[in-house]
Amino acid sequence: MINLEIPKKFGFLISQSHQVATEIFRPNSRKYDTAEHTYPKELDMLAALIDGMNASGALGGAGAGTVGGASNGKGRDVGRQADSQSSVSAQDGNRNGSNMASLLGLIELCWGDVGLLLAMPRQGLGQAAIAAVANDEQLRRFGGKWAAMAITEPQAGSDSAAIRTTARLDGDEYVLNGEKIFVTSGDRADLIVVWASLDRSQGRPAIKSFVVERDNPGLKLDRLEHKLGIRASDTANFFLEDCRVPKEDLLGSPEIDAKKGFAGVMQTFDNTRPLVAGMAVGVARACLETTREHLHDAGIEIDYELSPHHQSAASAEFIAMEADWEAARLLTLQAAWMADNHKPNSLQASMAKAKAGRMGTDVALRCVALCGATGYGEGELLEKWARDAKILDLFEGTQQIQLLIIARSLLGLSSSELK
Amino acid sequence: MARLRPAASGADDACAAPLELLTQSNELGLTMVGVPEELGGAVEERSATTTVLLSEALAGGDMGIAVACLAPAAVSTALSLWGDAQQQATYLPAFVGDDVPAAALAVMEPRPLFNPFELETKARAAKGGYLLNGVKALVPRASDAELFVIAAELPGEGPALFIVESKTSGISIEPNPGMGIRAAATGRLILEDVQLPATSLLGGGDRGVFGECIALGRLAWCALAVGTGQAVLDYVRAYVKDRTAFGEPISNRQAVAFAVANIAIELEGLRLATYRAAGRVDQGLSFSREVALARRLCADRAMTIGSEGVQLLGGHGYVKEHPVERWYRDLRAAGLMEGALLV
Repeated sequence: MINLEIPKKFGFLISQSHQVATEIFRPNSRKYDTAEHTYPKELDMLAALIDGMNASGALGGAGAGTVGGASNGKGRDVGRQADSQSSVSAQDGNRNGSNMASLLGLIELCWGDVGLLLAMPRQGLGQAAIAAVANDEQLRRFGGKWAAMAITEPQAGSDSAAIRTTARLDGDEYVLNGEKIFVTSGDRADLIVVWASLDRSQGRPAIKSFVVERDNPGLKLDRLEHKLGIRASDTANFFLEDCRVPKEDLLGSPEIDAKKGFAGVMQTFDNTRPLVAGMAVGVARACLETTREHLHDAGIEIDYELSPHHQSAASAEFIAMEADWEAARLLTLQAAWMADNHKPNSLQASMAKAKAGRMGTDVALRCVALCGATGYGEGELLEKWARDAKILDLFEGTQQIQLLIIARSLLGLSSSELK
Repeated sequence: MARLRPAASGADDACAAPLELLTQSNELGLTMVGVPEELGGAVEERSATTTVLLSEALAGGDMGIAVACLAPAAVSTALSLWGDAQQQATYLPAFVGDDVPAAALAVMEPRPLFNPFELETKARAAKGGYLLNGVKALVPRASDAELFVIAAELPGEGPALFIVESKTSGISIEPNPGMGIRAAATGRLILEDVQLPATSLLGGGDRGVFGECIALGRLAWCALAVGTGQAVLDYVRAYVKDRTAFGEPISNRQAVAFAVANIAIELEGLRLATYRAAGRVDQGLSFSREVALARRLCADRAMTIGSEGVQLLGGHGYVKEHPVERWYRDLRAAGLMEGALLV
């Protein structure tokens, strides 16, 4: 039998996450949307609580239903730990572990607020990068800290192999120079994971990640961005000016290996893309639920038995949106399930991200339109969710980048053939 | 599937599935898959998921022939799900025997904005039974069928299902070919004062049974759309790599490659939504919402897949040298058909 229902064992995790979303995220949503760049202090207590629960294993080692990249996937110690804690059904060897748990918790939290989720202390995607490439000694030193990712540069976005930031070995230190933009939680994090090239003439394999302490004097904050949405999350731009980091803080191997190199770094995305897809699933569900309440108040009930032609246009539109949401949700669950079961999921991760990313924006905007002035006005959160949702079709690879990855995979084409 | 594909074009032209394939599908026991062992069928417990997977595989060969093969199974499934002991004893043995009769579930009616819950075919109480009047459209294998299950309104009560033998007087049958699924040999049933015994009412006229019948039918069409959608994807993947323009394969162009990627994404979404709904049927959970969502994806996304399949071949997609024009026609059916099949 094919069973695509959510396993019951995740019920506690989901309800806990939902409670956090309801009681902490939603009441503060508008406040930090309005007060951009103000630190959401309400998250401190929550983050401490989640750290405690993770330490005690109270949430089944599930990364506490947060964006927990570190407890997610292919990282060494963390990966093993996750495996031992995920249960395997005796009959079919079917596994639902830490990837599924992280995703389900995250969907609930993003039903609450995507911006606040992204602003959660110590839950940055930087930890996913550390988990993916760090050695054991580095994992011990950096694990549990708040790490932000600094990849993008003014002239290198999707084309991350084109970054210009350089790292030059000088004695026992690397000296970093360059400019980094769009660093989520860059102002607030303890550590910034910076991508830089050891030798720009050697292309992708020479790109390494370096851990830079936030208070390193060579790391200079240029500005915080003012954004369309997810304003609770700070987005920092930095200059690296002769920024010196100990050579032990280069993550992974310093060797420039033409065979590996970039692939390892990119593999992080197989784990993080389903999570971003999950964010879109969460925020779109919020839009649908609120819209459904408004439709109900307007006297419109959704009838799943009737064809679209026999109910109101609003109700038919609602079912169409919900159908798209369901497709995106199931694709996302599939990608996480494959990761838990050690099946290669690059294709499915990108399919989930592509579908959920565009679905999130599309559904949110249509919900705003359905609710008219109510949806568009700041008296409701719908307009905010529609602004927040757009980022999910951009970061961790835009819609177009996902389509490139999917198409190259399906058609067996290289990046030089399908540009 | 491997046997259906080579026969598809000829069956489409002939408006009939090859007899040999229909016989083989009976030998495979398609009509027994929806019938539990205790009623003489092939399975311990009926599984909507099994029928979904079977339907998907058959439609990967050809949707029209798949409909022809599966049409009798809809009747045997309906009998095993909703029939009383006497109805099952009378009709089921033929469907689990060696010589399976043609049969069909007739729900559609020939009018715009057809709503299966507001039928114009009426079953008035008469002579201790029912008097059936109306017209049924797009009924698979209508002229061959020995047995029908027909949807008709019980005045004052609502839609219901009736077991009707094709030899009953008052039934006339006309060909009713459509845009696609032509191998299913669709026909129109004209019902004029068809006198039925009281025992012909299936499922006791229960409104829940009727709703379930409609939902399981829609899910069956979703499964077919998944199979045909996969056929489109597989075909265009090969074609766009082979076809060259401006000195290189057209697959090297984003406009082409992204269209293929989008077919794959939407197809997988429809497939998962269909599997989830079937899984809920099998687990005894509510499935009305999940079927509606799969149905909507089928109507919108699967049709887009059919259209993009032709588009990617350009003018070559429009001619019968390639199967994509047939899939385009078939996929339009999947999102609008009611009844005819059950999972």
